Amino acid sequence: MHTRQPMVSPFKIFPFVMYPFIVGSLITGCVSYRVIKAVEGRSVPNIFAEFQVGRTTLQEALQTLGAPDQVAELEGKDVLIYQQSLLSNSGLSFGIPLTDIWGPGFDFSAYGELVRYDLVLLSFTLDGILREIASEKGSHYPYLKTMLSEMQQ
Amino acid sequence: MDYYPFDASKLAKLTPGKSTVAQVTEMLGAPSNIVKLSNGNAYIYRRSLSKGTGIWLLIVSFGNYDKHYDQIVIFFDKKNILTHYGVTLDAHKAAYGLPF
Repeated sequence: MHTRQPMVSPFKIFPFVMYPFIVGSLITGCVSYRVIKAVEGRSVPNIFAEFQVGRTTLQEALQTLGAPDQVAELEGKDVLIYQQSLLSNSGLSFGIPLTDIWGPGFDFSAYGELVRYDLVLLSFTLDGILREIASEKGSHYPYLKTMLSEMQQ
Repeated sequence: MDYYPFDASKLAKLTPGKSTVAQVTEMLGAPSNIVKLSNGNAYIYRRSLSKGTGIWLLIVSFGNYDKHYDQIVIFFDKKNILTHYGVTLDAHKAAYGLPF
């Protein structure tokens, strides 16, 4: 004759698993935060020490920096552009998922995306002599400070 | 599209002052882009490799995307003779990782 064992709650057997699971599931449905970063291209070198306007040639620039990311003609000058883009994206979402049991729920979310560019522009004469250098180091601008700057004003 | 690197042995055959547009396109195929310049044209060959990583930890998720290029830019004069070229082979540097 078998005696029927009373069913034991899994909360008593695995309390350290079940409670965090339940709490985690509830929190996951309410709050979420995401961070995304995307980098495209190689890092742009600092060439001001090496390159001299009026002396550096197109050949030297190509040997030192490799192939440019963009090539263009601008008012009779040949322009090489080296660039790296850095995308930062973050988002915070908060809501109570009551749709299944009540109908209307509420949700609050905020997100921001910032794309910064590191750029070096080299302009050459028809003879292939460096005529102009311009650069931008966008990655020096801090992401969070930039995103929150409107709130600080 | 699958990534396939440029053949380094072909790049060694690029000779400034000698190679022509026809020879280069025969070696490397059709360029990704052609740019008209003040005294000729630039043929741009580009290939890319991207790697993405995603991690979800209950309420927090992280994503990372890294894209690098193999690029060859070849300058031709108005007679279609190669004058200069630049090579960047960075596509293999694309890596999986975290966003911090």
